[in-house]
Amino acid sequence: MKKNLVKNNIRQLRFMKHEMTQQQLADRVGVTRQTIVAIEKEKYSPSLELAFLIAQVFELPLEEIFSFHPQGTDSSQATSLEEEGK
Amino acid sequence: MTYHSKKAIVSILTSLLVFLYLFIDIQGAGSAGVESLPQLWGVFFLKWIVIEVLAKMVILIVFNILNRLATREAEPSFADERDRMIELKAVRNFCFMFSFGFFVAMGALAIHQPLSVMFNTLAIDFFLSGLVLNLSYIFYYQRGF
Repeated sequence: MKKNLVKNNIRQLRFMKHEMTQQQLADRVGVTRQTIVAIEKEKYSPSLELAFLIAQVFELPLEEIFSFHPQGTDSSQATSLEEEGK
Repeated sequence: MTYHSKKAIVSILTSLLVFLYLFIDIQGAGSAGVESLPQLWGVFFLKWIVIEVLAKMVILIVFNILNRLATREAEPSFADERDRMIELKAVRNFCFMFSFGFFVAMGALAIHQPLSVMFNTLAIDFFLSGLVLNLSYIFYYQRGF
């Protein structure tokens, strides 16, 4: 399977946000439930517009929901890259 | 398996049945004269398009009803950005396959093959292009991109 470089924690955020269902999130951002499923499983990287809409729903900055993991870096390296960016 | 993948599988099976039914029927036309051969194939392609469209309409209605009963979930009422992206990629693959088959069919004419070889190649190419289209849907929906 093709490796997706964009990771996210939408699943955890949904549960923290009053156990929001995938369908509810899909309705709020204007996509189908299947697309939310694909994003959560990291089978699909959303467009920038959709990523911002999701961030708006959770009232969080984009980088707290999505993180970029270039090939060859593990999660700790990716985190340090994000911190360098800050 | 997602709704779109199941729909693509149903579509493949429908196309296969319609194609086999009509293609086996036309194979007897090999003995027809050179004058009547293009007319026979013309009728074949027109019949194919009409029967395929009608069969797909009926079978997809039945599929939607059965799918709704089995999963208790309605079919998606709109296409979002991911659906559109997958459609673009699938249609691109369809075009590649179709163009390739078209040039093979023209190549058959160029090397002085009988007219029936060109028509057979075109018919098989139409069918394979449709197959590639639906397999692309399944591939992209299942694997992701």
